[in-house]
Amino acid sequence: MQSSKPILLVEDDDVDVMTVKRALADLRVGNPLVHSTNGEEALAYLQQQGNHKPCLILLDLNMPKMNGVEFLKVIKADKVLKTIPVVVLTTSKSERDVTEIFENGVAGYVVKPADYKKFVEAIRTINLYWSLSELPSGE
Amino acid sequence: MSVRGKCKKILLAAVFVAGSVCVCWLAQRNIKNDVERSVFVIILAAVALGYFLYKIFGGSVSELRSADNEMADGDLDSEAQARYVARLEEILQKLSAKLSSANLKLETEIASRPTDQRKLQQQVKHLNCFYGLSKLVNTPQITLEQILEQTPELIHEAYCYPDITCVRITLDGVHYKTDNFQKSEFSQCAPINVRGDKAGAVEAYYFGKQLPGDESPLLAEEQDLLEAVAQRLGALTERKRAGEKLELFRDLIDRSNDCIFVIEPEWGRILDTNYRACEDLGYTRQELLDMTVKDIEESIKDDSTWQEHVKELKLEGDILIQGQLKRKNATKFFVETSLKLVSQAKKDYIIAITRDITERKQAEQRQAELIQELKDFAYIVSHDLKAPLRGIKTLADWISTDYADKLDEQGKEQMDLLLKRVERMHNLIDGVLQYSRVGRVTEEKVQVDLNELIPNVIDMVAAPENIEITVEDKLPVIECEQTRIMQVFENLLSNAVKYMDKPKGLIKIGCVQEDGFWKFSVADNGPGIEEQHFEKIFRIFQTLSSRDEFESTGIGLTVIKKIVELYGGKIWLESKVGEGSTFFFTLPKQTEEVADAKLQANIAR
Repeated sequence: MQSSKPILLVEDDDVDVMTVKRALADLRVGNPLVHSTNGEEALAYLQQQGNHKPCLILLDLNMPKMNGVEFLKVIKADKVLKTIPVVVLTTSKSERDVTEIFENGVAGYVVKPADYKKFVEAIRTINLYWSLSELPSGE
Repeated sequence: MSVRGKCKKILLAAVFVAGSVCVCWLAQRNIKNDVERSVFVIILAAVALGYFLYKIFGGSVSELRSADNEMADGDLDSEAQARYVARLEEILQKLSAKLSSANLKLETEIASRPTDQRKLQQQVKHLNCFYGLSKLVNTPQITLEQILEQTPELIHEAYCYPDITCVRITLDGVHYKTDNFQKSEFSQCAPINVRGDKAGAVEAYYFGKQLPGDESPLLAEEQDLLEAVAQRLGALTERKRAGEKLELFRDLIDRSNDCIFVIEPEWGRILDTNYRACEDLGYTRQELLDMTVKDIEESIKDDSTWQEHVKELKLEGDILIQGQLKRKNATKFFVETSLKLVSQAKKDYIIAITRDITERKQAEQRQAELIQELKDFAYIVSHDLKAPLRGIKTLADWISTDYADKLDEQGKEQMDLLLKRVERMHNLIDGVLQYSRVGRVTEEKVQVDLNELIPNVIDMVAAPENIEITVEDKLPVIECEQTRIMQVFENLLSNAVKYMDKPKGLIKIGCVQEDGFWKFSVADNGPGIEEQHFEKIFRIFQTLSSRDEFESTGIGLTVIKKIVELYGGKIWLESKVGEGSTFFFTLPKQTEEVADAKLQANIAR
């Protein structure tokens, strides 16, 4: 991944935040991690002038205030923000959720593994993919 | 003859002579030349003369009277007396002869006339009786009892001697009689027959004196009357009772909790209906009789829909349809209608019995809501309980690895226990989810050859080397959801493996054909289960051993039971403690329809 650009993690569970941070550290991913605990916060960050636009957004679905789906709908309606790839990272396996998420234009849907080692593997794959894939050259 | 009588006679004769002379003189003077008038006057004179002669000399009656008068005078001599008596006798004889002949004539006449007259009189009385009865019967709302109470009086009036005749009607052991009722030796009786059985009788008794000449005081005509009345009463009883039955039946239909309609098949016109239907729909009976089924049943929008139903009805005889009835005020309610085709007098009718199923529908809806709530609950359990659990597990993992050098043996053991409990909790939650997924989440049904599938399942179970799993019979090919049937065998086998307590474990899979079913069995030589637990082990979260001894959620058998029952089968076990257990389950050979119906019902929820 373009190591200069931050990764935005939208997640309300502290342990999950720690897990992602730890996994990124274990994988020696150099991108800075920006953390928001809900959709509102994340939007505020994205709309704040001067903030670096993230190269990837890791999004949880069940969050207070503005949940993942609501957040998705807002940024996919935004001309600038809609180019940022969003990977959903959630515990929900529900078919209904998956369909709705893809309808809203996500780049991926990953179910959080309960086991940390598997979790690290999942993050490694995501990192690998987005290192390989070209990203739109935003600002 | 008395002096006074003689004077009278002489006076009369003098008047007569004077009259005659007078007439002749007048004739001479006035009608000299008129011959016709002369003749008329002479005849008139002659008649007058004749009358006077008769008055004076003739007529035995006046003579008798005069003779009597003379007797009363008492001044006759004995000779004259004797003569007079003789003459009286002579006259008397003449008179009595006349009298007796007249009497004879009269008697003959009287004797012939009364027969007709009496007959006529009786007939009038009988007709009166019938008229009275007819009037009585036609009185609106009169009951049979009221008719029977009043009839004896009517009959009694029709009798020849009403004052000394009494009448009694008996019907089904109940008496109805005239006030003067008393039994006597003179009686008449006619039976009342209802539907060919004798149900009672009409009796009449004459309690006056015996008539002279042994003549019966009760006439043959009266017997006829009695029989006619009895017959009439019998017919009336039949009719009234049939009417009462019909009324009772009508009442029953009206009071029914269901709306009942009689419908003409072709266009669905309503021919009759019950009170309940009027009440429920808010129409009068007359309004409904002017309507067709299209007007009141929401699901029958046009004639062709109705005719489709009739077509099906003619094939099946009776059908059940669900729909909604429309009230006059445009509101609707859910109904289930049973339609039945009946034929009467070569015409087809449809009887529609419609039941309000609003409550049932509401209950169904409530049930669906509850089931949805439960599913949501399962989902919430999966998500909200699993999330913190995952956190606990992750943190415990990190502590174990990051602080491995700082934890002593006791600390490490406690961390191990903590991780095991977390794992168990995780399995429980997964088990609940698995259970809730059966029947809710379905996959395509395919032809599964169990001879190929079972070896795979045996591999998955990965039994230790001391346990041998064998397939004893050739297994069938069944149509089912592959994952489900795998789940059943896997759970049964892994249970058998998990609890195996013998150094050499034997697990045998068997299958036999039974009437319409496949009967599968999984037999082990494990510890066995006490009979008192046979039911219990199929209940959710129910385990027979401590969870620390055998890691088990107590969901596996519950899931199997749910799957087997969903497919229309049964599951049970036989076991002997210390020797082993055999779990049996059946699957219908045609699982398709049963499972389909159940799955459809599940999906619909």
